[in-house]
Amino acid sequence: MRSLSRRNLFLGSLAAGAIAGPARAFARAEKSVFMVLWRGETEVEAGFRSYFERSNVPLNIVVRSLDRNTANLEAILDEINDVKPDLVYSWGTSVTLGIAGRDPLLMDGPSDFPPQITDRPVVFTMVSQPIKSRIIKRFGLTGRNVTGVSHLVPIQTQIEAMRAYMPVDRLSVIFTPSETNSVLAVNQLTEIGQRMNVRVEKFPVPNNLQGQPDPDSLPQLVSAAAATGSQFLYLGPDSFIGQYAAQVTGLANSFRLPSFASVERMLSASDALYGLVAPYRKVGEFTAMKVERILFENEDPALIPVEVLPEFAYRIRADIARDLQIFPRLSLLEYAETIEN
Amino acid sequence: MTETYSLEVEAKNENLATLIDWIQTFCTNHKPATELEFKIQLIAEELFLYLTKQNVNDQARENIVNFSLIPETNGASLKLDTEGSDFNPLEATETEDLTAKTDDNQIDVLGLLMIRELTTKAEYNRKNNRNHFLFSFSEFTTLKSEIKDDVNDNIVDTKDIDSQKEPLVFPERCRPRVITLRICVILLLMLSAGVATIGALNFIKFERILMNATAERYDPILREVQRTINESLRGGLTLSSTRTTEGVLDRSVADFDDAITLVVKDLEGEVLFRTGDLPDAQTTVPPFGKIVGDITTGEEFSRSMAIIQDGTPVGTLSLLHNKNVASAGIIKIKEQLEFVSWASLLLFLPLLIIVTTFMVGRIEGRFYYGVLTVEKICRSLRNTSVSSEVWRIQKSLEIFRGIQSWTREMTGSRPFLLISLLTTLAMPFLFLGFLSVRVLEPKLLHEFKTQTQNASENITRKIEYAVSSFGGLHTLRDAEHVLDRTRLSSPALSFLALTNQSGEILHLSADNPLKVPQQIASLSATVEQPVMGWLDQYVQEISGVSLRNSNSFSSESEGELLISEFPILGTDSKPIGTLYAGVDLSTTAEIKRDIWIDIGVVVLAVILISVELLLLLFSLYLIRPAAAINFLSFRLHNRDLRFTLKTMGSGAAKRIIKSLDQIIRQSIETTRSTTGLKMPGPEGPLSVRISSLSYVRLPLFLFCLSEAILRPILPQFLGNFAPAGNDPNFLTGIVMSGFMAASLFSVLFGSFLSERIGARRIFLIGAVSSALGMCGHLFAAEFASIFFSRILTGFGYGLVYAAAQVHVAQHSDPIKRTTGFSLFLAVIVAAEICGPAIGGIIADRFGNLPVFMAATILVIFSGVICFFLLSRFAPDVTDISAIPFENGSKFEELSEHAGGGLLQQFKIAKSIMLNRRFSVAIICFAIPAKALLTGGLFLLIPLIVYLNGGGASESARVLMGYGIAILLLVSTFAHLADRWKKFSLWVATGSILAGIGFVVPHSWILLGDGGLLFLFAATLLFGIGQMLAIPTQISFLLQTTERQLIMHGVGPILGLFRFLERFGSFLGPVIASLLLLIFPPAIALQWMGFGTIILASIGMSWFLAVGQNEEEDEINALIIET
Repeated sequence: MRSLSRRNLFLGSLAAGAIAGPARAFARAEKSVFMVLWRGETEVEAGFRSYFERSNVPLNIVVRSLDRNTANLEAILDEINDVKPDLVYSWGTSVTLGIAGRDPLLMDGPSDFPPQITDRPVVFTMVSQPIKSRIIKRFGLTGRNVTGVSHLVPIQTQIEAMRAYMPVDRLSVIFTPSETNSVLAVNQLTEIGQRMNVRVEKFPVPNNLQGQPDPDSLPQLVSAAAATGSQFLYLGPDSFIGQYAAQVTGLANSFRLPSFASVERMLSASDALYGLVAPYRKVGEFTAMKVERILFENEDPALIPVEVLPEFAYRIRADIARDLQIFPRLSLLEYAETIEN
Repeated sequence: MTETYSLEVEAKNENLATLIDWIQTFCTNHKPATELEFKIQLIAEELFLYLTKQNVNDQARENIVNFSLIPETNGASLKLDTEGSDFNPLEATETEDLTAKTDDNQIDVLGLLMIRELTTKAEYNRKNNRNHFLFSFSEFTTLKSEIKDDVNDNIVDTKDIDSQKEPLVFPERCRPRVITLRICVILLLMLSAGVATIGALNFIKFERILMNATAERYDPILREVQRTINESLRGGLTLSSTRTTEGVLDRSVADFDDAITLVVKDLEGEVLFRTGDLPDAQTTVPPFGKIVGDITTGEEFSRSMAIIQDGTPVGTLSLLHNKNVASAGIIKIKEQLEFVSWASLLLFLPLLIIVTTFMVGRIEGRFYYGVLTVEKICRSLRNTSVSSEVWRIQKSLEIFRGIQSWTREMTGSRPFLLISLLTTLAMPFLFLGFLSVRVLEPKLLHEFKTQTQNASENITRKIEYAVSSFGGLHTLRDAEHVLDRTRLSSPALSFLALTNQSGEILHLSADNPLKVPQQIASLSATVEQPVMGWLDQYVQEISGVSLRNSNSFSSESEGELLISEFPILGTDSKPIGTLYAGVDLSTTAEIKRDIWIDIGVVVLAVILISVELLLLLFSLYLIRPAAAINFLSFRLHNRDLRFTLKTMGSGAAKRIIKSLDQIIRQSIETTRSTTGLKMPGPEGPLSVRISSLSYVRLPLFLFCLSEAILRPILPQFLGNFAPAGNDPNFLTGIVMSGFMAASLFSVLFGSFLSERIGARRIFLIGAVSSALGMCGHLFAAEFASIFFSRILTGFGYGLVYAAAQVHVAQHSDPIKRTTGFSLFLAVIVAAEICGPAIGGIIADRFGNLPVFMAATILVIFSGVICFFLLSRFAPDVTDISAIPFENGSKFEELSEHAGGGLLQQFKIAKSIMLNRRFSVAIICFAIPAKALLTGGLFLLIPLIVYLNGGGASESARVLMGYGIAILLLVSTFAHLADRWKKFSLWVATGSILAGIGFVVPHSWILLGDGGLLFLFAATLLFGIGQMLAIPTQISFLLQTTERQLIMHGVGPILGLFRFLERFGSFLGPVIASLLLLIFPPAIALQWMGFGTIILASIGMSWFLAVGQNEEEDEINALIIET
């Protein structure tokens, strides 16, 4: 590939950052970014950091994680107000709702996730359904101090992707009801599935005695899902399932139920057969681009659009396909990547 | 046998006519004496005039002469007894001076010698103071002594003639001179022009075919990549968000070692992905599913397709590759075509010269020696002082008889000569076509192979990728889908089959799946060599390497199929299967057929133009002079010295006509007795103009060709001028109607004016008008200017049409008018047959404007030829056996009635229309014939062809049936119509046949087996019907309007006829369109056919009831007969 215009903007920025970075470093004052994460640093942050490392721009990053508990958010907000960073970075739907809040025009009342940080730019990432969660009205310009990146391929596209592999009329999905993100995705999957004549079998993960999702219930859920005769087990943007993805997919494979991953982590950290995913590292780099424009090119976040990562990849685990003896259509191989564990 | 005729007559000058009539009556009744009439007459007259003179000198007594004519088996005997002094004409010797003038009171020496020479037996005795003569005549007594004395022995062997007892024979010695040279030059020019045209057209076509084929080399890849991107976009991803696109492009490019560049752009033209540096000029998004590309500009081929998502274009995919390979191939093609063109020319040029020299030279030799013989005799006659003009005329007549028989032979041999020359002319074109196809074919096959290779290797790569990822051929899922898609990407691919190593077909995509195993097996049988197979297997077992080159593919032609095989390699680089690709070579066959059709069109055009030129030369140098000589011989035969000819012809023909004129004038001056002779008035003999019917052929052909070559492009061309927001089809119809309307009226006025100021002038005015109109097409910028240009062209078209038909009418022998008008029709049809094809070729190769330039040039040529060839005056003689101005008025004088103001012309038209026969013929025959032509043939037949699955070319081939029927049969049937008369039956039968031709297609379809071949046969039948009816219509109408013809001349009748006929042309599409609102095309055609049959039947019944001629004429004829 020699050039690519929109992608060029992205890749070219990376290259330019690497080449012209030192020179620019002298010209730019150090900026601070306050990262608020859901479950610690991920590949996304690695991509974010590597982008700025290549650019060699002076950036001070403060990292705070909610550790999957929204109760920790209040303290973090206080810290932000104390530290007064140049920009706040929020990871995931829950964190972003807590910091950037809903779009004021879409709120159901003053208590419905009001914006908490309004005096400085907020850049969110890894929000799979920013419109469904009413953080923004539509992709594009927000008109407020918020911009960001979504990583989730549209549900319809995901269903089409599954159909490109083999005929699909029934899906099973195991999800965590306590995760807003996951519930939204499952609801959308059900709705669009109906439209596309795909039946969605839903298996919510029950809570254990501590009120947390119960990992012990997963084998039973997988067995039940396999018993439905589904063609795929859908692995949505669910942090809990993501944590146990290897176990879930291993169990599913033992029932010869292939898994479809909607996010990269599910695919790379499990034995899912196939996925249409946004690479996390790329999500981080794309988020870094927006941050760079705000901090170092003094652009107004209201004038930087919220976008879905412009790069998705069809990936097939060839080893899993061989094990399951479920091979993709030859036509899919024209554009899908095959990977081995 | 006839009885003996006797005549007793006093020897007086006034009784000479009685004697001649008496001899004529005998010779008419006694067939063996018919040919001897003039010899008998000559002897009888010579003796009678001698006796008359004697009688004048001796007025005291009455000299009664007794003549008897006794019939003989091979001739007759003349007995004569008379009083008077003793004289024996048989005592004159051969040594006496023939030129010496004797006393007027004595029979001259030449006369006596003539008696001896012209009789087979001559006896004289004197009894009872009476002289008794007995002369015997038999056939084939000749002018041996004259010829012996006057003509060089080298030219005529009088001994031979004498011994064979045959009429005057001219030597058949080949003597190529000016005529041969001119015909030779014309044929060579036509040959060179034809070869150069075919060579150039072939090169342009081959260049485009090869450029296209080379440009399309990677089209399968382009289609595959486009479909792959489309599929990857399915579901809503944006073009810029498919990371996989990058991989798809990279993999595709890598397969061809970076020979291609792929570029993806979004709708704004912004480049999203690019794999190389070649510039991409595609600025607009191509139409859905189409590949667009410009092969003419730039250093590389650019092929582009729209990228589609959810049925909407979202970007453009372009494939670029270098032109160098194609350019090198085209330079080679050019060299090869130059070589084969020269080879065809040089190889056949001597043959053409030899054939032309031999055939035309022989005719020219006969002509030359004939002319020389006649000229020498004429010279001797001029130098001879003889007493009897009849004798002089008689001698001329003997010679002319020879000429007549010789010209008849020459005219009769014209078709054979033409066919021989044209066949020889066509040979090099066929040879060139054969060689040209041979030049192109291997290169085309190579491109087919390359395309197949590209498409197949693309699949092979995918299969090998799948195999390497998942483990074997058995892991391939839905491979048929990919094979089908690839096959659809390459229309020439007949099948794609994937087999395992044992040859079992695992996946197949084919037009005809059942045949594929057999086709692959037959390939294996021919390609696979057992020893090589065993050796390969052995070496593989030992070394793991195949002896076959795994990266290459092999191909083998199997009938119309080119089958290529591509090995599929497994993970260990060992073959695990084979991909077979079968390419249907019918596309190559179609290209070859197209080339042959193009060559055929050029050859047809060359031959038609050559025919016109040859006929013109024949007419100028041979036929018209021969007709002139025949005319004079007829006049002399009838003792008619009232006419001479205007100077015409050139060379030998000119000399002989001049000599004959001099003989006539000398005879008039020296004659002493006018008895039995038709002598001119005091102003001397009238110089007459002989008809020149065929002179109009070439200019008319060129003019019609100029309009015919526009046909394939005109609607589309006119549509470009439609103002924005208007329906182009509607405005095209308006412009075309304007042309029709202008020609409709100009044909009417042109016919009137042609009578008044001459066909030549009107032809020239029409040609100038059309040329200006054609030029207007070249410079037209908006609707108004193109509309005006078409009107101007149409106006000129009508004038030329009218002038040409008036010329034909004026120059046709009235009793052979159908033949004359068949020429008119044949010329128009010939132009209509080859014109559209020529126009199509020019437009195809050079664009639309050059077609209009060519049309303008043709019109100008037509005008120039008309200026030099056509006479300003109508001919005095159209029938060489007829007497000019017999009614005391010239043709032009007849036409004096024509002309006048509009009111006068309207009155004339009204008087013609009041002729019931004319009106019935127009309504029942003329209008339906034209309506059937324009509505049925030009509108409904193409629609039926389309409904039967045909295209424009099939439609054109079906329509050709009409032209073929007209061109091949019209001449023969026109002669028959002229011979048998009864024109109403001819016209009605033709109309009914034409109607039947259009009734049958639907009936056939009802039977369940409609087909283009049958439509062609139906069109042929229609053509035969039209061929019978249309040329005969003119003769028929002129026959039904004899009185109006005398009153107004031929022009007004023809003008009115053409006007009403064209009204039929206008009605045809209207009626057809109305029928189409109710019925499908075949049934609409059937109804039009029925209508024609009904009208023709009514017309025929009416004419059978009332007759062809007006009652008054019939009554007059009856009175004269009784």
